[in-house]
Amino acid sequence: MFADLERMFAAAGRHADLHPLAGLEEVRRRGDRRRRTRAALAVAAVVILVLAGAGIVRQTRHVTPILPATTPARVRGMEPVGEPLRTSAVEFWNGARIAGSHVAAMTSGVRATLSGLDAATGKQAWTSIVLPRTSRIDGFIATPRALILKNDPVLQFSDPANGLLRWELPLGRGDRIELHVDVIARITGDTRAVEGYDIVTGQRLWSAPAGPDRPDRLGGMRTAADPNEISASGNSPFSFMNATKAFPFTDDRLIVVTEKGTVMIRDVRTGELRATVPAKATGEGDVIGYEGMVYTSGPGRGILATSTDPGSGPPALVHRGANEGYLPCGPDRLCVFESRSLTEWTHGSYLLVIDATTGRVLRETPAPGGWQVNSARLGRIVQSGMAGAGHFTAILGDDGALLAEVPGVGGFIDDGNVLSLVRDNATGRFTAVSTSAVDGRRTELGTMPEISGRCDWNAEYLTCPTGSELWTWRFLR
Amino acid sequence: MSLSVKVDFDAFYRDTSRRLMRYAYGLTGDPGEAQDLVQEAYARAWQRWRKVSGYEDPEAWLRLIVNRLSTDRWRRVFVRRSHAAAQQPAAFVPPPSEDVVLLVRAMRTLPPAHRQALALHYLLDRSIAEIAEETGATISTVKSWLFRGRAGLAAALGLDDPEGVRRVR
Repeated sequence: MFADLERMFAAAGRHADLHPLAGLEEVRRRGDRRRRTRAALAVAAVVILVLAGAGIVRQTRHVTPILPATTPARVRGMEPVGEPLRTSAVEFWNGARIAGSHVAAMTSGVRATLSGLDAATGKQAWTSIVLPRTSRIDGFIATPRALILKNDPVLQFSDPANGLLRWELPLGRGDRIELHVDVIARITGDTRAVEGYDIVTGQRLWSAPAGPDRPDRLGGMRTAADPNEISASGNSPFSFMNATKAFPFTDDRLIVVTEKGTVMIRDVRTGELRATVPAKATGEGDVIGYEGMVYTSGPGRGILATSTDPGSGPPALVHRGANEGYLPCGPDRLCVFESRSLTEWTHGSYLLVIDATTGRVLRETPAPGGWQVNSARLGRIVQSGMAGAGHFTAILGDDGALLAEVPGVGGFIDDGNVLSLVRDNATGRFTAVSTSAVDGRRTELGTMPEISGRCDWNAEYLTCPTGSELWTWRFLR
Repeated sequence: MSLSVKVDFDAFYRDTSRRLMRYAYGLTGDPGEAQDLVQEAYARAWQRWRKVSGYEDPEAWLRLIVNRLSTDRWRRVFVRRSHAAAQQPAAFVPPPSEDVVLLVRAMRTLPPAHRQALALHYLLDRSIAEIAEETGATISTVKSWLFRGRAGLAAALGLDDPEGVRRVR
């Protein structure tokens, strides 16, 4: 039989040691430009693939018109908007973001560029901007009013309609930032003052000095209508920007948590202090606000729920012990993923729905997928992530039961539809599948070439980088 | 960057890259992906080396990047093709032993936190206290991760001698 785990891990370590690592020059080159080495080869491979006939999108308006109506309306197909936007042969698209009908996309290769597209027409809205070789691009965020590029240590704010740079915000060491649809707020790392800037003009709208109990963390108050995704990388829109999508908050309540744990609510547009609620310090975890309730947590401190509404009770410790992750899943409702031992030798994940005002567990259900990239709408949860070597997108109904599970990467399209992009491992092509979050029925929307970066979508459009082409589709209902 | 900065980075790379490769392999179970994660992590370190080199433990920062990259669902969707296209033909590496294949397969069944704790403990020889400090978890949480991780491996591997996997430093 097998020897103990130590011997097996030692063998795995030795096997890892046999694999050659990249040379230092290669690492530095990749770091200097943050572009994939020999991108031309990659692009050429994609071009060959496209020329071989794999690059034509087959849009299938599916022959399933009998599916019952849902609210919001079921997504039944997708159609390309215009022609794909093509790059030169020495670049490839490596990411796209959409906000309203503004699509922004970036290329890598012998040069890095940023381009804008009008999703409604499929036409290029502005000429590609070549990014300097000295750029330290960590990713970009598209909002309806600004295109934000993180060129470390500076945030650059451009006009999404024409790509022109409007203003820059230099970031200091230890700065904390949070993104509202109209304002960017920050705690400065040096003075701990809290300040707000207009994201269009760059005008500093307000500034509040630190005071004796210094501001420590920031968060936005989300409403039930706001989309959001929370992953292992946290809840910040500026964390891991290449892979995650930012969801600026729309409510005017900015959450400031001080070093001692006090929760302060400021008007994000004026800085006016609206509420101060004493609470306990919970350390370095995320600050998540939802419909008046603020959730804070930290290693070994559990999850604290602090209501900021007038007349509400004191903060409640709503979950103790370790959790895999958590997200608000309704007004005064917190969904916590917890890993438990099932037997002495096996474990499983459970989803707990907790009343955030009392800490009472309202329901618990098995959650085989565990903590993934999670989002909640109307009490339903969509999880997208990896299990073993594959990807999956799962929908948990408002009763916590698994409504549907589809292979592939995905997320909510709107309150009633969930997109997943399913890879065919034999060809590399992807199939877009819409699954109803209402009844779990699936509809194949169409296929696309192999993608080469993060796709993005909203309730109307899907955009995907596919090597030398940037495709945009309109969802059909 | 200046020559001294390059020399500093080069020495850091030589001293730490093997360990990071072991760690990435433990997390992903895929040598090709581990190689790419390691290269990407060092590329990011080089990109902001003045800042990273000032950290108390730059190697822990690299592991954090590898953790995040390894759980990036989008990256895993498309990285293999571009990585494969960008690399020179790989040097011959003997296939993994049966034990390694089984261990890798079993590791993939575990939650990321358990996998991370096991990789730090067994592949990098980190104590429970050190794992707690690096992950920001409490000591009891790390003990729980290791216990459950080992239990999960034992179940997946069909080990009939669980005592052999119980030892905790």
